[in-house]
Amino acid sequence: MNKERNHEITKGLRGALQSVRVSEDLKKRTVDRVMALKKGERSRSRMAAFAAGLARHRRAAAAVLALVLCGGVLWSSVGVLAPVILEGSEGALQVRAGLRRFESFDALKAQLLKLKAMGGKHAAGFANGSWTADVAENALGSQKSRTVAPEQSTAGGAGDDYAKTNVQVQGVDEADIMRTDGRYLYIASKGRVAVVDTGGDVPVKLSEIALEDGGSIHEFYLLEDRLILITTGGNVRGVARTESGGAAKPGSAGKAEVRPSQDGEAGGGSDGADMAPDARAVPPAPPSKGEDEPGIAYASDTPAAEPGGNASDIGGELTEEEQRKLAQAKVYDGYRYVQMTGVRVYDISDPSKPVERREFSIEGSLLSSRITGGRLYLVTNKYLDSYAMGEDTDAADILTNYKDTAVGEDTCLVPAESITYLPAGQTQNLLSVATIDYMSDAAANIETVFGSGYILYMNQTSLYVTSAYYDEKNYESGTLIMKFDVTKDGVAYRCSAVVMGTALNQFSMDEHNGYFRIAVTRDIVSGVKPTGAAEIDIAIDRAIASSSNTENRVYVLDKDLKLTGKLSGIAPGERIKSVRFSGDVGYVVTFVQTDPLFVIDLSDPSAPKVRGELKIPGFSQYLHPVGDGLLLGIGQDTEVNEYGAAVTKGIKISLFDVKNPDNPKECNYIVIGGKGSSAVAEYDHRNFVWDAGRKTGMMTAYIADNYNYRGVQGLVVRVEESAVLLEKALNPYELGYGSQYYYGGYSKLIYIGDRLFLYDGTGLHVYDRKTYTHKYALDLEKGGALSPSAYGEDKVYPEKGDVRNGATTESIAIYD
Amino acid sequence: MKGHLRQNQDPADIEALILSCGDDILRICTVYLKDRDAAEDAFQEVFLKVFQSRARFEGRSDIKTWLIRIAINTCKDMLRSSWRRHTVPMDDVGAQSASAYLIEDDVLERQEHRRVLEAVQELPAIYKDVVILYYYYGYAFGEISKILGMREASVRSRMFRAKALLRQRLYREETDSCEQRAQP
Repeated sequence: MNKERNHEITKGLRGALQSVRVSEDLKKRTVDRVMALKKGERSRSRMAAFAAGLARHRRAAAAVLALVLCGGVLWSSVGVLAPVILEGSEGALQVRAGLRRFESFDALKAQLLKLKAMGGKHAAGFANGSWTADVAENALGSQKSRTVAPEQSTAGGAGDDYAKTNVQVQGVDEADIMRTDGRYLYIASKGRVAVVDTGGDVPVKLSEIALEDGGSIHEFYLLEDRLILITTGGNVRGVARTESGGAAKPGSAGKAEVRPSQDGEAGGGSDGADMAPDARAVPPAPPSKGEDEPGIAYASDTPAAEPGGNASDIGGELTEEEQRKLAQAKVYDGYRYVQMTGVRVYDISDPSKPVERREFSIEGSLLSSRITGGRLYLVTNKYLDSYAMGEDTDAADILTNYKDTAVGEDTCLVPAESITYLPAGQTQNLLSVATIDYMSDAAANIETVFGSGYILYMNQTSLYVTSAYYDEKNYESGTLIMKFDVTKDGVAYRCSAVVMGTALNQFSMDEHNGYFRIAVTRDIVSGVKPTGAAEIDIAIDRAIASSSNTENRVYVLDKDLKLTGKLSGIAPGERIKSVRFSGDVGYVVTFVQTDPLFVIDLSDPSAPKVRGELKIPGFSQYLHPVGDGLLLGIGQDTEVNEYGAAVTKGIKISLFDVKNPDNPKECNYIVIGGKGSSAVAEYDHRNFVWDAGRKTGMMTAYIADNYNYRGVQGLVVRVEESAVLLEKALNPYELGYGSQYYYGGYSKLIYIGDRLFLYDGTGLHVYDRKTYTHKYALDLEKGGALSPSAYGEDKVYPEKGDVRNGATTESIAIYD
Repeated sequence: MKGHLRQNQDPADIEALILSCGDDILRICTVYLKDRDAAEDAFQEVFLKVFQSRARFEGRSDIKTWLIRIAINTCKDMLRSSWRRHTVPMDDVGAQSASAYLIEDDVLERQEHRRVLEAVQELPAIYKDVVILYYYYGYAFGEISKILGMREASVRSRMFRAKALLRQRLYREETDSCEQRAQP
């Protein structure tokens, strides 16, 4: 932008705003409000004393429920009895959804058109924000839960001395990007999986798995003889149209015939590049070869689906109807292109020749997955674009496409009748949980809910998905918790509840002895009226007194997600940075400018309470129990600048002594790297490896010094005599490998016996575990030795304060 | 009126603060919240917060920059919360905001200024921060990075993006498709 224009903007902004002045009236109103606050302050200390007395009577208080019933709309076409919202006296909402499914596709479509008519008001089924008074019982009460034995998810191999994936719940496996069975090493790199044999002196690349449809391998599971990939992207053909009229036949699993591709392989082919075809260009042509397929209405046959072919004649703006049809007509050449998330099961009895055994894919984006009890649970979200819908919308436009090679080669649709209607779900999404028995050929079981998901927590008997919930009455953000039971057939939706506040990640929740615990941060909009419950009001007052209007809570819910106990007002004004539940204790770290570590006693589900608190600078984003009453925290070191902003200044690894819950202590901490450094484990717990036998932890980190890049490094830390020490920082960049443009997201450090394997995103490096000498670097793409940096960079180690060509250190990953 | 005078101001003396910084704070609120009523609500929230968190102001910096930070955060919180959605639809807002503070001066110049203001108001919140501090207040990148608590590199890249958006909006310049997709 040249000087003149810069000046124009400044002039314009200042000119436009110069007439904005504070009037006498505004000044007076503001000063009056502040004065009112001054008076309020004096009464606050008295309320604090009162609340201490109240806490002892918490049990009695919790028994009082306020039933809130409102008049509302009965959706006759959907056949849904709207739920009752029960408000616990301490603010957790229990939503008892009638276990209702859509009666037919038309019912689902009607619901979506209503959403569209509301024009962006996201409350599905909220109408005027009111509900009927009918009480609906949980119709799944008779479902039996399947008890499953814990399963070893990694192959034993010869000897057990190698890194396993760091999972949240024992017996429930999570996907990872780098895993080993003690000899063979599997690495997800650049959308493919490389298979490496580490048996010899140097590692050798044996084979590679790439997807033929252009998709990429996101992460995977390693089981005895089986490699299970989770895939995203890919060019997949979905169901074009169902029978004209739009309804999917009930009981037929919604299957519509799809004409096999003329050019051979389904899902592949020359038009791989065309993921989002421009439907404006040409009306989809009817099949040019082959016989007429009965029962399939191609886009050009039905007048309603014809895109605005006359737009060019008009030569001007399209009407709204035409625009909508264009948005809707994703069908091209008789097929629909859909984005699928997939599961591929490979037989790796011979690692040099992986053989695909089964493929399952479902339309939507990946939320997460787990393996437990011999089955894989895949959770995905599909967004429904109600804007693009009209009366003529076909079932195939809305229902979820899926494909299961155990059933057949065709793509099918999840029928509307199998979708559970969850009125509290406020988004236009279909959330699916697919249960896949990967060792057999049993068809996948798909449970779908009209709602969306953001976080997944699973143990061996229950699966919980949480999503954002918006309380329009009080203008607050909450969390909707949906509970599914693990059953003989798969999962079945059980119940849901809403708590006020937002959860950070999967570690914010936990189930123990049948009770579900969740820690949340509640953002309070100032001006919210006092509830009359003294304790809550104190928490609100204290939160508003800080500048960030937040407070933090721990809720305890029972097996039906009914409120059992609650702790609120933790660290008002601060936000939760990390949580770790461990049996009867919960550790919560909050932060504004200093980081308190709270020890929460959960032994009494009806009365969670804070036992001890430790205040230190910096914050931990991941907490890991390392035995002996010690907790390792991985996070950031911080300082407050003169403008009052807290800024990070390096990776901080702390060791906490929590043997005495009333008095947690910090044993010591180490700081690694300078400003701009971050450890992958702060955001992804699977990057952390803990070798309990040697009391050693490993992780990878992006290291910078005042934002000057110093390498994606492997860090080895050891806990000895109540102190955490940095054993070694392994830095391939120093040796000439890697690139400053790699941010470290896909990297990992593991051990196999007496060797360390570091994947830094660009190559696999082998180090001796005792001497930490670099032994070899494997090129994962070509096999063989990796040659030092192919990026033509200056390999001289940069001086402190040196800025490299003005390159920013925002995340830029360069792939070839 | 920078310098020692304001640094010695008592954060508890709200009236004095309004006299010395009030106009600028109200202007920030106007850029974020557009319509007058909402801006004035935000204005009050800001000074309430200033009063409530006065203990946190240690006098190490100019009190005005501390106020600016609180104002920016308050405005962004208000934009996030729902009741904002019930207010006036976007189209009318530019006109309303200008006319609410109408004073008679050169019509053409006023229109031009309003065009600039509207362009800035249309920017996503993260770009508004740096644009206001840079163009209206004239702070340098280093100062902006400290006020907002972010890296200077981030400030630069946001200014780069913001300028591209403003160029497109104000001068109808062609931008390449990358930047167009960058617009939320």
